[in-house]
Amino acid sequence: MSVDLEGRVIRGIDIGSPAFINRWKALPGNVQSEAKATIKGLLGENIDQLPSKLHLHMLQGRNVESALDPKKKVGVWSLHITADDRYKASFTYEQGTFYFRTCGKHDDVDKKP
Amino acid sequence: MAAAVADHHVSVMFDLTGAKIDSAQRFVNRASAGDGIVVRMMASLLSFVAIRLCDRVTKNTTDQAIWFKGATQEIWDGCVDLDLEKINPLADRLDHLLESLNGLRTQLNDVSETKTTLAAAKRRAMASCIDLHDSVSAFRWALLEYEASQAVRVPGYFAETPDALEALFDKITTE
Repeated sequence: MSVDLEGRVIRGIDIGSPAFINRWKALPGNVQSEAKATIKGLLGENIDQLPSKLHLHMLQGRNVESALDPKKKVGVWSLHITADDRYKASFTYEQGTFYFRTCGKHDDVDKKP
Repeated sequence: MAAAVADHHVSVMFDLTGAKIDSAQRFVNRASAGDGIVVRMMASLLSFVAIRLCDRVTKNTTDQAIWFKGATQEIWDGCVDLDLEKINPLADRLDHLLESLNGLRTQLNDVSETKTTLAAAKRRAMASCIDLHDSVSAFRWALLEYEASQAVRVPGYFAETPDALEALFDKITTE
């Protein structure tokens, strides 16, 4: 648990996106278990101090509708939800809450086969 | 009129997407099954033939990557109005294409570098395969983000504690 000096602590998780829910249901059971542990582990953490293995980053130049105000555009973030980096999820970060948008396979290329 | 133009744009976008995936898949299959074997055989005998085949991979995959990058940008820019029903089948085909691209890259990696010029051609081909892989992967993800943007969030799925979140995940898994 981090001290929230600058409003950067993750205080809530919202998974109420039908797209996220449908994609989640399609994940294999073992992936769901691991991803659930990863997402639960976010609560109370400082967004700037998350483990690098999560590959948390904002998608450059990509803006989406705010989950709180549909007239507003906000940045979209993604993080890896499994340790093997095969699955990721995206979300917006608004007022201390992660609003998950979608999740699924992330077929990143291994540059050194 | 504007609606007609928009509809036309949508259908062209989807028609082209299917055709582009097919085209890329055909090329990758051919390059893996036929050309890949030839390249490996020729590399030790006729390096200039192997170089030409590598260059063909470079040219084709580069062209394909340009299209996928453009299509990805169009999705993010909100220039398209996609049929959500078609996203899943497209994503599955893109998955298959990504797997095939991994196979092609492995085959290229196995080409013995008998000459410096062949080594350079092989490096270019592998780099363009990686670029196409990244482009297809980004396009696939853009489709999922598009789907997420169209979805209307439902209340009651907010949690502030791990236990409450666990209960929400149980709920969405079973409902």
